[in-house]
Amino acid sequence: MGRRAYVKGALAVLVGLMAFAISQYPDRSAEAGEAKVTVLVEGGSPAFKALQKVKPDFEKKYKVKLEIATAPYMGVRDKLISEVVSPTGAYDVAAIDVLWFPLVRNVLEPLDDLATPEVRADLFPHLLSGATFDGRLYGMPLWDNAEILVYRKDLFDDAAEQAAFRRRYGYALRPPTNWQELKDVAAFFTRDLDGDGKTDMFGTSLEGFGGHGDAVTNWLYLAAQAGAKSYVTDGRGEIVIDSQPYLKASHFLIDLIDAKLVPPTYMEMASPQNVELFKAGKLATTYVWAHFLPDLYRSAAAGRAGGIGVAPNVGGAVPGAWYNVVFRASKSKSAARALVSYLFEHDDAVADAFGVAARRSVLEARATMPEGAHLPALIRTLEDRGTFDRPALRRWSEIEESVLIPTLQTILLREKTPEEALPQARDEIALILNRQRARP
Amino acid sequence: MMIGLRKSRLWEIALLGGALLFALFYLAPFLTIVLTSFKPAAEVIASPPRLLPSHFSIENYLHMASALNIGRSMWNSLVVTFGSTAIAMALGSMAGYAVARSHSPVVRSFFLLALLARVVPPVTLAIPILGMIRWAGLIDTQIGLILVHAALNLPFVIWMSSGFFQDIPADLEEAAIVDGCNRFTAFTRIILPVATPGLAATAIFAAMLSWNEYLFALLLTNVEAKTAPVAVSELLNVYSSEWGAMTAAGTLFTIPVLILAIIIQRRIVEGMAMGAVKG
Amino acid sequence: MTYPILMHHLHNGSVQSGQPRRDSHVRSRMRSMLQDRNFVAIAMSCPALVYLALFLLFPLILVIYNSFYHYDLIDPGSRQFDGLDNYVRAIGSHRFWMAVGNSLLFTAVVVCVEFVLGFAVALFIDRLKRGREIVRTILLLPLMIAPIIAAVAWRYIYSSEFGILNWALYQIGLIDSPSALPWLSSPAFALPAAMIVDIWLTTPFIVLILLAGLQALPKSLSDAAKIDGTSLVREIFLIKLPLLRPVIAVALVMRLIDAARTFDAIWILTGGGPRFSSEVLSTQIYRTLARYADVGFSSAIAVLFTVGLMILALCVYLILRPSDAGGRA
Repeated sequence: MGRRAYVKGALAVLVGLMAFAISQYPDRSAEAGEAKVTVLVEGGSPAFKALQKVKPDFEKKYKVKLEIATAPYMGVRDKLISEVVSPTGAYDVAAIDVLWFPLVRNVLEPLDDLATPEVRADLFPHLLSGATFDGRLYGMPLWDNAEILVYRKDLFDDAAEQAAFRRRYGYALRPPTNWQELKDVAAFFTRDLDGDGKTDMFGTSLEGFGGHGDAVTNWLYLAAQAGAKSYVTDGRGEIVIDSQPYLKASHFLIDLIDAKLVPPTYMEMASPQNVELFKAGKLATTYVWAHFLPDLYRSAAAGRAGGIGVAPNVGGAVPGAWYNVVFRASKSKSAARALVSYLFEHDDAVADAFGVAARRSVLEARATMPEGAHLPALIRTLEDRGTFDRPALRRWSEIEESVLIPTLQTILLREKTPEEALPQARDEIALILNRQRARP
Repeated sequence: MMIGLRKSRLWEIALLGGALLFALFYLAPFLTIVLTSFKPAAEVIASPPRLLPSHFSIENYLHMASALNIGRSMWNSLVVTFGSTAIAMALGSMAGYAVARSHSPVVRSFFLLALLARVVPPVTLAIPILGMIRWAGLIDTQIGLILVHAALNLPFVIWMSSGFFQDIPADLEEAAIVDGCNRFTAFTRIILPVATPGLAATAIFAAMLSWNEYLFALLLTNVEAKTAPVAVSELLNVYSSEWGAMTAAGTLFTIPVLILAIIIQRRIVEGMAMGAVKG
Repeated sequence: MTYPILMHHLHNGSVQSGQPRRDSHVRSRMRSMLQDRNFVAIAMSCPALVYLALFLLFPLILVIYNSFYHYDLIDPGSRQFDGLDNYVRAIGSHRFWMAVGNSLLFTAVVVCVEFVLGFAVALFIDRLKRGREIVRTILLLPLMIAPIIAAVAWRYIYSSEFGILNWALYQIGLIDSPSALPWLSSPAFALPAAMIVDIWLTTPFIVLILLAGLQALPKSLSDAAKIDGTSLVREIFLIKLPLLRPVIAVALVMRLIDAARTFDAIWILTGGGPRFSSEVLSTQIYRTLARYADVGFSSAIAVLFTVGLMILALCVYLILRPSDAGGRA
């Protein structure tokens, strides 16, 4: 009898729990009357933080409930694809990487009306072109970003260092403005500080880490600085990865490695790691995404004489912009558009959260403040003629992952010369693109 | 004789000591995480790392609470686990019994099908199942995930429970039938209670599978029904790998399971024993 | 099969009742159905059968179907019948064979180590007179940890900057500097790093299973061996091991399949990298599906993967299966 009661009791508990569980099923119909806006953002991202910040005011002003949905970077991308395949209107707004436009633009609502002439004047040209397809604008910029130079101001300002540099190279020590100067500075500052035979400080660093897009953007903008007019493919769809500028960029990186001017663990480096090394005093210069500067200002490195030195990139850099988009299947479009324009108006909330922003006016206003000391350099870099968007290719993710990163790593590891590796990369990219094109 | 006894005693103690040491050493990775979760946030990424926190701090837990909705995701995990285990056990034990007792070739081949299902990698079925759940409008619902988890657990439950039922002598049912039961009532009234230990172990394993499941939880849930494993994985992003919050979340997610495991460890071991020795 | 007692009972009931024939006829039909072993068996397995057909068989058929198409998830209109094109592409793909190789390597190493280590530990615990339960309980705990939690934890431990593993090895003096072993960022180390995590997670499972098997062996065997003067080693390998064969066979097949299917831990730990050095078939399928949105190709790989697994499982089981009938009727 005891056993039977045990079984019955267990079953009863299970049934009870199931009933309770089912009762938790969100009752969608009850919420139909209430206006709600659901935003999809990357967890922990500045978009997430900015949204959290503006949420109370926005909800009060527009009388809508703001629901923030998060996912990791690739998770956001996967969910976007889900929405494309069968639009359910699960999300009204999303914060997307500019690279994702080709994937999703067919399910997006055009936002031209939000981009008044004043708005357009307040944005860098590539920000608008990055989100414009068939003449219509499909996203409002959230922020723009690029890699800028960070350097040891205390060393650069030091009179003794300046004298020694001039003696050795014949010109005044200053943040590099071209590749030769970069190499000179790197060679000058790569030193064994404590005489133990091991290099303690390196003149510069590079990014070789494959789990991150940084390595690729780094390589790509070097090619732009060497004269490339477009990334990977040109306007006509021709693949240019094996052209001169890319070879030059590859050799530039190899030269730095051969001369031992970069830390030997460069294959593990992306911007975050370079930032840490710079903080620890192991780098004299490095290139990092501008949004790392607030973190640097807060670190001990800011206590060095002169603070953190920032300068524009040697030439153009790859702009890493993010946009807010509205889904056509959204059931609260007006609220969604309100949110998008609200965020744009409050671009400074993004700047607070991230250190960079989309609007020129916001950037320029903050450039005069101590926390915006890096912004003049950023603005200068973003304005550069060599700063242009990556091509809007649907298969960019696949190309980056299966061709660009492995090819770059092969070159950096000296397994193949650029002359061998790049034509191969070209063939592989052609395969990927042709698969897409051969289909009707 | 006396010397021999003392020697064997010493040997015993040495063996036990060695075993305990090994066991604790084995747990070290997990202990690291637990200890780290109680470190002040800055110490979590300190280089060089320290084993013990300099002082006890719940910063990481607070971080975690603000970074993700841990309450909701834990609740979702709980609901989905219970629901899918209930379904899998109900359907699976019935089928397992049928397989154990029947000589019908239909049922035999069904068992083979269930075994085959055990071999299929879940990622293979991702797209069709995603499509089906989407078609039914069950994306991001607990029900949707419950249904899928139950399906993932079913082959295992059938296989395990059939083993347990085979252990029970058929005479038991025959006696029940003589007493007036039909086959089904014989099952519910007589066999089930006897098989409870084994079924309990099976249920525990099925529940664990659902609690720890990641792939389909990732694919099928967004906001409402997101389970804890997915929530925890989101802590690793490119802006700042939130190691502190992550160790806190990992600890929080695992400790209840561990406590439960310690309490019912005998059941679990029994279950594995039965499963193993059965062959 | 005849059920003389039952049929007699039934028959008597329906004949003697004097009630309207029809009613009792139906009821007795039902009763006899419920007593018919086969009918009940089929009825009881029906719900599960339907469920499995819906959630496993149907999707599997869809996957096979999809594998013959070129199917871009984002652009469903571009769907096109391709025949065996996806399969040809897979077989000609260098990365596919790399993933196959990694899957095989991962599975082989992981299962071998787990069984050897597991067996050793199980033997060890078996010899313990006391404290067996405590050790067993402690060892049980890693089993309860979700693979992705373990992966996330080990990522922290493997870190070159603040990971405790390298630092500990450095302190002991086994490596020159804390960054000497780039566990997760070096192609040479990534797969072994993933293997270690899987071994850590699953060895306790093997220990417990083998321990149960060892404890089920009759005590008379060890006594007999002692009397005979057989050495410990011979006792283990010549007596215990063969007797454990059925247990090992089942556990081995199960583990092989599960190891080959591993996804969660590897995906979180290395994402298949760096440079696809730790890419196994399951991560490749997921990547092709979720990142490249190439349904047809990933379906083809999935089909090849599943077929390969089934063949593997069958082979291993046939080799190891005890020659006598064993437990199954």
